[in-house]
Amino acid sequence: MHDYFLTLGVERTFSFENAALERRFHDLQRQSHPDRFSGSSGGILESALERSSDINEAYRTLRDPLRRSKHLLALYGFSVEQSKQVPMDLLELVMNAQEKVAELDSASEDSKAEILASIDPLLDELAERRAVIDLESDKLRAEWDALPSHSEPGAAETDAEKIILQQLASRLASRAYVTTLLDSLSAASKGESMVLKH
Amino acid sequence: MAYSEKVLDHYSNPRNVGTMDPNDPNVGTGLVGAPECGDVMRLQLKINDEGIIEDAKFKTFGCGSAIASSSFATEIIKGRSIDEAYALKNTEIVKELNLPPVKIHCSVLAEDAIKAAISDYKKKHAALETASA
Repeated sequence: MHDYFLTLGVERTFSFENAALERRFHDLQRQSHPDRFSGSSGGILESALERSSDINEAYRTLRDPLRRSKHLLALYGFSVEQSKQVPMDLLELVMNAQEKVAELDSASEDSKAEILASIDPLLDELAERRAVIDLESDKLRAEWDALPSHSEPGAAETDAEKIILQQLASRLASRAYVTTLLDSLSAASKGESMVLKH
Repeated sequence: MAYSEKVLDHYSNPRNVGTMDPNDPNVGTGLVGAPECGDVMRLQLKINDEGIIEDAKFKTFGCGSAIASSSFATEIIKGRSIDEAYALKNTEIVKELNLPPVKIHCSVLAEDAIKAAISDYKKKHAALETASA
């Protein structure tokens, strides 16, 4: 896979300065702009085009904090999409909430109000949970950035690096779970039917 | 996406939907999830003293393939020993339900749920034996 940090020549950190990243992008884009190679042979022009589109994609990825995080994790072999490390109490919360939504569908008008009332505290609980996950994720990102040096992707990572990245992947997976559930629950509590997006 | 006939059959007419008492010492409960698609699956096994799965129930919130995978899984593991059930591979589910590559993770979820339920049962029993020893 592409290493977009390498493409833009920036450090593999989670935090970054917007303005500096943008300057870097424009500098690189000027140097490799395909127009500069318009008179060149097909091969050179083609590789300039390819380089230019890599730079574009690298910038789009690295300027978005979530995409940047996922890309950094993926470089070191940690996939947020494949992570199944969700805490058991979160799974229980998800199950419990989905059961309530299912109950809503078949409930009589009288009991609907009661179920809806029990969904409200769940929404609060989930929102709070997401806030905690975000705080923990920020802390892990800061820990990574504060390491004196980082292993090259593909080289054996140190234990400290592995622990941080693995924990962050699991936090981001949990966050995706909580967000999907919050969307479903708020849709259900507004009387819209809940359809999982697949 | 076009679901296979078998998936549609299990989806529209799921077998063994339900809940068992998680505190029953003969019941093992497995709760697993797929954060990326929001799916959650609970699979419960009732295991007799000879280690044979007498009954299986599930509850799954997710896509058709996830529901069909867990429905099919509960159907085929009834009557198996816990060792046989633990050895079940998701590929068996994929083959039978004709799942497309993008839905293979649904069958993995069912396999994980069976393993989690058996582990829960074993853990419960180890605790009971320690308590009675």
